[in-house]
Amino acid sequence: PFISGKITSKDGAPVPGASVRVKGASTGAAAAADGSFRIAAKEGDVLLVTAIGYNTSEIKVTKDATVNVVLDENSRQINEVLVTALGIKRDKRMLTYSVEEVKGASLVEAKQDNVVNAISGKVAGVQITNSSGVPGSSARIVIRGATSLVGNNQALFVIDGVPMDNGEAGNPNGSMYSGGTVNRGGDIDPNIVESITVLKGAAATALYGSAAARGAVLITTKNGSGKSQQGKPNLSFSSSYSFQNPILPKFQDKFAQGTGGKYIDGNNGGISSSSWGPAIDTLKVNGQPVKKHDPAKEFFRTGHTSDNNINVSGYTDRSNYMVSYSYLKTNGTIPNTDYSRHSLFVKYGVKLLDNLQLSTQFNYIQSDNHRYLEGNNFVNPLWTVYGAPISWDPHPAVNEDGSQRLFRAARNNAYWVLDNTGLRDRNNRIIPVVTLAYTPLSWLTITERAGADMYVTTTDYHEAPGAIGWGNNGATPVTGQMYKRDLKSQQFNHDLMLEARKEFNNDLFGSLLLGNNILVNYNDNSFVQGVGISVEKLYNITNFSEVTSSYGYYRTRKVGFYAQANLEYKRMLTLALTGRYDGSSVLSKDNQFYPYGSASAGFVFTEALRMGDNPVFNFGKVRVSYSAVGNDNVGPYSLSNPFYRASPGVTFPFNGQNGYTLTSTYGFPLRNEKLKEFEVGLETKFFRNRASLEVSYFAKKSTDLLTPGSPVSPATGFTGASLNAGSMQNKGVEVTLGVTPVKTASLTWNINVNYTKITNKVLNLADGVNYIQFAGFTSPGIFAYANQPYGVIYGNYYLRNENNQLIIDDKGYPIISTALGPIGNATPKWLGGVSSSLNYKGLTFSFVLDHRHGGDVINLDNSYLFFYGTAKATENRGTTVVLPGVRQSTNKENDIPIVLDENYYKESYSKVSESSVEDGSFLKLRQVALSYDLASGLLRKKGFRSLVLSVTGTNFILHKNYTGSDPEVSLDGSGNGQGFSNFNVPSNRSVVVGLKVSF
Amino acid sequence: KKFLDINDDPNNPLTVKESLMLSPVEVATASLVTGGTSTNVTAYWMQQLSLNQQAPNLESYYITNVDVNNTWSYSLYTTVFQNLRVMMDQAAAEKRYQYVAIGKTLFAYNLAITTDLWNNIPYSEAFRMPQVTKPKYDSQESVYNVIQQMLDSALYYMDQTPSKVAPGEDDFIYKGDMAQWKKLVYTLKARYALRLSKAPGHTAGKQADDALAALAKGFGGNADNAFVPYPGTGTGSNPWYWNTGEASGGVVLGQSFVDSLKSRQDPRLPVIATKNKAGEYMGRNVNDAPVPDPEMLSAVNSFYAGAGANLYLATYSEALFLKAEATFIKQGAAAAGPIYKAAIAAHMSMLGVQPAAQQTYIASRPALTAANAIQQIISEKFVANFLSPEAYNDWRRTGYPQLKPYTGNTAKGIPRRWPYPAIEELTNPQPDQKATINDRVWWDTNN
Repeated sequence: PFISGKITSKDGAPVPGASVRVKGASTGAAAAADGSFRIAAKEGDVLLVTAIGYNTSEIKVTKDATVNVVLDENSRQINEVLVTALGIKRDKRMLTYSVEEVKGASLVEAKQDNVVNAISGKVAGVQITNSSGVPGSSARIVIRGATSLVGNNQALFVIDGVPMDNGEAGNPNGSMYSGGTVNRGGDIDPNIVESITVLKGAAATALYGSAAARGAVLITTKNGSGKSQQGKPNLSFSSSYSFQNPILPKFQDKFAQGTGGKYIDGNNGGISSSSWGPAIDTLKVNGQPVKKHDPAKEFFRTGHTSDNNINVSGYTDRSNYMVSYSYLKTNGTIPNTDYSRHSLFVKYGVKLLDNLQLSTQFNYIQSDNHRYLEGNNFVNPLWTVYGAPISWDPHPAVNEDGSQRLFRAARNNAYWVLDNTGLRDRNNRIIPVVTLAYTPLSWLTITERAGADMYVTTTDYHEAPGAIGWGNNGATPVTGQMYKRDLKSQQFNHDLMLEARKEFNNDLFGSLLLGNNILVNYNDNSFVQGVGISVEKLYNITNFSEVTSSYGYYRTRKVGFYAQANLEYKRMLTLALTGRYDGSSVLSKDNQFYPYGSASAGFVFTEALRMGDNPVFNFGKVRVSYSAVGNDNVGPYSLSNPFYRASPGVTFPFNGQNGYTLTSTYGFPLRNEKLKEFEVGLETKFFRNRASLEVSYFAKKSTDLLTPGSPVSPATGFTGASLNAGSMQNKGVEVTLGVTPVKTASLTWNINVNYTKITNKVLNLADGVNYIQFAGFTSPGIFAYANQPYGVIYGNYYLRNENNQLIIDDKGYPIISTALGPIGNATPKWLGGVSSSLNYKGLTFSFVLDHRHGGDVINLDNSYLFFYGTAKATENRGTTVVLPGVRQSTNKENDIPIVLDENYYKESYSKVSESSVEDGSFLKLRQVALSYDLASGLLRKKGFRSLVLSVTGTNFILHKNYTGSDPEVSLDGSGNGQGFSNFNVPSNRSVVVGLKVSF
Repeated sequence: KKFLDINDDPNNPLTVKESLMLSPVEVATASLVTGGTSTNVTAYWMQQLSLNQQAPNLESYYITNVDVNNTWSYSLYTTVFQNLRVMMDQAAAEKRYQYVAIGKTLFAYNLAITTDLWNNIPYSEAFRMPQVTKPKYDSQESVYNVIQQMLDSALYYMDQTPSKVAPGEDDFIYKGDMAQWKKLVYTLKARYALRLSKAPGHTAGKQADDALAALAKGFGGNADNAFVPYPGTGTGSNPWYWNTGEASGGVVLGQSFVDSLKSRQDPRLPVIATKNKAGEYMGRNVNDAPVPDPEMLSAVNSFYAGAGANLYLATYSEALFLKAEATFIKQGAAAAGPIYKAAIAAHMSMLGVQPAAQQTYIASRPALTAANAIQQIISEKFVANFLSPEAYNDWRRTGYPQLKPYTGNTAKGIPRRWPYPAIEELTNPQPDQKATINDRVWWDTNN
């Protein structure tokens, strides 16, 4: 006979993983995710129910076949069940590596379109960088520092055990000339997320195979169980609306268009890019004062976001379900820019048999994004918004003859750009996951999990005739153009896992996991470009006189076999071993397979010292791990030397002939990258869990770095080579401090502080090579230099002597180098975050503060805006200074005064990349929120479970040394080229009002 | 194991026919080399062009080792040389000798441009990946020997039994016509012979003899001109269309160039230059501050910078100027005079100047004398070689035309070469790389 039932805590939440045994027998069972269990027992037996964080309960079996058990919380113990690699839930107490969790509710509270941004400031060891303020912008997430030179450095994304694509499609013209696109992780609707677990070190992620070296972000979706009571559907509805205003750089507002102090009247046909004219306050044309404009303020508008979600869920003892639909719509601060996202999520879990659990889910996401080109492109409207003279009226944008009305040569009117160009990104994606778990024996579970991630992204750009262009091939046609790119991506993942769990006696618990993984990826990329529009404003490829196209198909496959063994003794000591053997299609045939693994241990010393009841120091654990993992961080087809269709300054086919040129990257045989990581950590709890402190130290070194474009002498006939070259090291400390200063029945106050300091160093590159470029322009660019942190900003600079003093010429000006070299570094020195929430009855006040210390940004806007004379700092024009430095001719201290005038800013200041390098430190109040749950008091009896009203502000405080909008910016999107900004859309400050109702 | 063997590139071929390699190299030679950055920069230095931007910049001799990376690494050593090398090896193995011959001609043409910009360059150990990753640098003298040998070798292959797999439409320059290619080879032999008129160990007389011998079989009329035609479509335009277009940041004509044409009432001025907004021909002086509105300056007109303009690699006019100079060296001014006049006329015909206007102009030119001949010949050749790298080579070799250099902070006189590229300094350090832009190449001995 079997007994089944459900194990819950006092508040009705299921207790998954609770152990049920018949007293005196050796057999046992574990409760499923919804707390249900089934065990062979007969009337009169005593069931022993144990669970982490709860007091052991003994229940005598009566003649009822169903036994529901309610467990008492044990305040002495910690009950933190976390999702670990492959979706396996484990007790944090027994983990041997660093893991942090962010609850779904806090992601929703962050009010970010992109779920990656919602993690900002909340997890130690993680750096998140939002790229831009444009709707649909990308965010980069790097865990424990960059490990790869040119490959992907971002964390692996996993949703309910299945890896998902967090790549960024990027713009066909490249990010420097058009900015980024959304990272695919941004498709995930925060409303469906139960929790996000961040696995930091290789010991935690080794089971994930090749991608593990970069850390992992595990997204666990809600499943419908645990809320309200069994059998009754829960309905909840939430809605929020926000107002966004751009955080604009400051511009000078005193001087009109012109040069040498003389006015050039752009309003009456004058042409000049310079705002080095006379003071505007006293300026008159034909006796009339010249109207003063604020070009940026006139251009931007208030953005709006609406976010609506409806969610129905419920559960019975055999099944659970959830249906969620969300619609998010953001209208950006630049006219005509928007981002919308439909997200439908359906999940259904059912017990097919008592020992066979089926779980299926399906996520469909459709997004649509309109924007303009960012970056160094003449059709970026910001170029002539930030560069516009304050004396110029940009309207009308078009002359009577239909041509653009301009204040200067060679750049477009920003308002013409709005009406005549545009970039659109559309995505349709489905992520289905099916999991079948079979428990033939109480200690054995066999799980098959199959998942897919499929999407089609269409990016199209159009540009009317008459655009002044620059970007693709150094030029864009004046006859109108469009391009359209369709990316089809299909990823399939399969895991077959066999998990044995055995409690040998009360003191010893062991588990063994064996598994097989197959991951395949198929990508289609078709691109078509049309030049020469036939019928105006009809942006269909058939309407273009000259059409070129290209197509690519890419496949990768990986297989892996893995094993993990855990041994836990007396809930005090844990030993864990993982091993994995991977094969990857992208590596050389004789190096396709590579093994790796980790060994780790955790020791709860307070248990050994019997301090569990100590009122001051009640928990302490030390853990140590060592892992050696591999990585196949390179694209397919990197081993051969193919010919590519030629484009030597023109597009082939040319004059009716097709043409090919040999690749310029020589393919050497490739093997996997290797990463070794040592981690040691201390986890402590004080004052009966009211305070906790967790400290981790890690040291990792990646070697044999896969470098597809390592430079070689072009005289070999190749400019680069694909090879394993170089190594990089990261050492870091992560500290997490949690304090609950007040906890009473009606008032709770939590504070969480995190701190991260990572020292990154590129140890060496390919033999005989001292630096390589991986992003940016040729100059300024973003480079890796041996013996320097990753992300060197490279460009020209002022000459300095050995004491770092400027060398000054005989006219009093600093001397500009003709050599180029490091002028900054994008890697921050440390990161810190503080979050806090104060809960009084139904009222909650919370905030998240985030600090980045150091990390340079090259704000290339300034090299233009100082030249044009629109930068705020140029208001000091006319000031006489003696630049500190040493005269080159006399080697004595400089004493020649110079005037900070148009000539200085144009010929000296703006000509040097170094001038545009700024400190990227910031302190941000990412969010501050006040909410009130009306149902906590008056409405409870009317059928509401909750009715929460909230007001949230984001970025209310942004403290920075940076002259641009926001030093948290990246023209390279989520790519490796961090620390580069050029006419990115400014970040926003927003106010959000929200309502959430649950029945 | 088989499951993972899917890493063969389904998108791009591992071998292609010679015809598919030849077309891009010809366009690369025109669009990236002759009409590329290198000529753009030297045209600034020669004041044919001017950049209406704030100094210091490329025009005002502020040139970094990064600025020259692309020409060396992308244009010359990979796109042109490596692809020619692969094409010639493949063609030689298949006995498709016409491709070998064209390959050698284009290789020599581009190799001369490379050594003229950088002096000593890798050649003998180059193109041996992966055996040699740091090719040594060969002296310019040896490179010039290679150039002449390569052109002789091209002539040899032109005389071999032609293959049925022969260049045709894929050869944009001569449609596979070997007789035409032969004339180009001889013209180039003369160009490179005369280049060494003052080189150490060479005499002007011997170089002139060689040049004259070659020119006898060289170009015989404008119909022989070597050029790449551009359809003028959005993605198939002449490089000068982009180099000097609206988005170029103000590339206009140089003042000394425009003024010299104006002062001689040269009928080619309207063909070469556009009028400014005020209806005048106005060039820019490198020492002037940029004007706010670049339309107040003359730009390059459509014969050279139209989207559908031809890009000339070598012309009949140049051949005649070479002949005039060599004849002057051997036989004196009187013998050179008619050839010099024919050279001017050839260029004017190429530009579509009416015969009467041609004659008026030619008649107004002073007669060649022993004293003025080189100056006259090279100064006129300078106009005929507008936007050709030869203008800079002739200036270095002869000192003509006389130019007033930029006088600002970066000035140490007009540069006499390019710095070595940053990528070479990084990947293949060589003692030669210490050279500055004020150092001279081996053949540049003129004072």
